[in-house]
Amino acid sequence: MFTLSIGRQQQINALAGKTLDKEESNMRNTIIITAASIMLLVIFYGESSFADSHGIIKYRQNVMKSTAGHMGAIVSILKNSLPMQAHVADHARSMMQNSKMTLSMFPKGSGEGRTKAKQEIWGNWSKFESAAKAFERESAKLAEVAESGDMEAFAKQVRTTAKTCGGCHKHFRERD
Amino acid sequence: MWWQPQALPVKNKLIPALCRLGFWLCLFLIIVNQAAGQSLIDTGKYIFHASGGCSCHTDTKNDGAFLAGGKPIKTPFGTFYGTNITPDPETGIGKWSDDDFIHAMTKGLSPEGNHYFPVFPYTSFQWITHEDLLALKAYLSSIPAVRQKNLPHDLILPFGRQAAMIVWKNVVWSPQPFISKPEKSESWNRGNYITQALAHCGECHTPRNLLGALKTDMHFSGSKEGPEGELAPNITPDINTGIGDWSKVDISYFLETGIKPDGDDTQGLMLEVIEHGYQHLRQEDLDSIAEYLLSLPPIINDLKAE
Repeated sequence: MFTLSIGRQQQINALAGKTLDKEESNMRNTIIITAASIMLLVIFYGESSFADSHGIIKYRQNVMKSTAGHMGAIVSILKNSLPMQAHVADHARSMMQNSKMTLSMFPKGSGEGRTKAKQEIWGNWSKFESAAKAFERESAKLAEVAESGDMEAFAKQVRTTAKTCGGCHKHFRERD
Repeated sequence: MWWQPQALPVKNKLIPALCRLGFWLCLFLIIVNQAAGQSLIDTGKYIFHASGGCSCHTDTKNDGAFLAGGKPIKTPFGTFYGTNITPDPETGIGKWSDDDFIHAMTKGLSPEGNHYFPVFPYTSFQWITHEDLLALKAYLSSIPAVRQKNLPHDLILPFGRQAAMIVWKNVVWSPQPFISKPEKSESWNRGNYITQALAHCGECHTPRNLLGALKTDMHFSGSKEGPEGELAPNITPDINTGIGDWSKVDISYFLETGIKPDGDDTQGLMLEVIEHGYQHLRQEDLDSIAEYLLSLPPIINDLKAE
């Protein structure tokens, strides 16, 4: 858009001859055209950011749901002593992989729209970041313990990991 | 000389023997007494956990001292501040007698005879046995005393509060006796006692009328205006709007960990009462709460519907 307006200015200059008056009016035209371009850009950018945040919100809700789904699956196995203990390592690994996505799912501006994400995320990013990193760390441990097959240690690590969910949810997620 | 051993051999043996016996007896009694005191404190600590760790009395958000008060509790009637229940004699409850404590917990009366607002759930604590109350007091006396003045409540009712409370207690509140059902199992009755009296679940999970009294016909069916202005869900076993699709083990695991059956976690005051209280309960007590809750009549109350 900017290049367009500059191009237009050169065009206008070329057409306008060499008198001082005409150059002044050219200047005015250039200013108007540039301002309009900037307005267009703002409108265009604004719209695209809304479209983007809508997609991002849906995306991260789906990722969060899948994390909760794996957590739910793990605790179902644990509390009901289901004969699916061999599955827990896969669930834990999926959680660990999801956990690595957390921070990139919250770009600036993605708090606008139908989301429970609070604005404080971007107001206090370092706190949010360290809470998300804690979840990442404990999920990695969870996957590790799951691999070892020690179900008692695993059940303990499930609780430790679940506590790190609250690290973000407590301060940064709107309640129902 | 008379005290010399050679002069009086019989007394010589008897007196030290008596002394020795006396010494051991004293030591034994002291130890037994200490042990009894300690076990009373331990019992009290368990009662404390079953009551949700008295979480309204610790200002966790601002890293406030343990049970020293200051936590804001938003209600439709204004903002209350949890009080200091540490054994500090000036700002806490260090000077309270056993009777003072029992009166406060069961009748909502301060040692000076002032009426407490029912935000302090004596409406549930009235059902706790005196034995459990005294144990709880012994535990509270054992924690570190913290000198911290209570904050004045910030309420919509600017004056005449005591008069209003007298009216409330005598007209609005109709205290019911605790109902145990001998025909039901022991664990059901235990669950009934923990849920209603100790854990005082109904105080948040039952809707209130305009005068702040619990709507007994909607018992446990949830409230839109729970503490901190948050929603307290329907915990009757209605399949769609309550916890009818939770199993016994779902409930007991939730009370132990804060993890819901769908893998999501709980937050707010519920997380605090779990963290500082319910998670420390014995498995059989958690199971009894679950058994009791699932035996309640399901009530349809969709809190998310506008």
